[in-house]
Amino acid sequence: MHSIKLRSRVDADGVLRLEVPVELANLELELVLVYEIAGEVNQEATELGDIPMIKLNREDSMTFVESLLNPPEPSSKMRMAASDYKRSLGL
Amino acid sequence: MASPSFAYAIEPLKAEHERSLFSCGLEVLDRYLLQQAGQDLRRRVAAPFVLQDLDNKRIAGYYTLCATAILVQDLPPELVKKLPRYPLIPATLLGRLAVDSRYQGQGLGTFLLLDALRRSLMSEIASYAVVVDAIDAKASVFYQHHQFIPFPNQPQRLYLPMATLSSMFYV
Repeated sequence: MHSIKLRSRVDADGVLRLEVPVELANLELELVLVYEIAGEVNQEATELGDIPMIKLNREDSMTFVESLLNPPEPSSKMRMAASDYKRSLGL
Repeated sequence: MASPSFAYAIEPLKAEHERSLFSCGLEVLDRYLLQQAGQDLRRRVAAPFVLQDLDNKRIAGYYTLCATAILVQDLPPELVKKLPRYPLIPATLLGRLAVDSRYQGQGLGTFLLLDALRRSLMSEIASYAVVVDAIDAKASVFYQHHQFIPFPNQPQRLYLPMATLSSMFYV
């Protein structure tokens, strides 16, 4: 008998999919499921297919969109850091 | 900005990377790399990248990137008209970033962050911002130090517009 601890989300239809270490590939297993509820699904971050979705309220939406439409200029410190980074990679 | 003082490579996580030795001081980030990162890679849920110390064959740090979508709502029509997409805005989620304790204090967090930002910028996938979920207040300060903007009602969640990144790296 071996024991590993995994964390996985149960789908809305009650299906639990487990991804186990690849070392167990192509082996037939007998499993005993001892579960512990790790938490509710975060309603702020729901799923869009496999893509996590982040919901914003009105104030956060306004701030975010204003920033996208009027993006702040990078600071001189960040410009310099980016330049140093590129130089370190020989770019 | 300090670059690594050792021979290094930043590369996608592979089976030969020795993940069990990684220890950054936050158990949740160590456990993620050890137990979850490989699964996320195989499922294409997230792309983990590691900073590998080539001589010592150790992981000095890592970060993860994945696509996300920001759902904005209740915007005035004049703002909506200006948006390329509404209400879902594609973005890049910098899910985790960590530096091993042995390599901390060398500026490698900034180096890894810049690598993640440039990789996000170079991606061919449409994205209008990089979003991070800071794991604690210290991490939030780190990201704000690098010009990330906190959401007013979610101070641990921050973002940086892709247009700002573009100016940062190309001008």
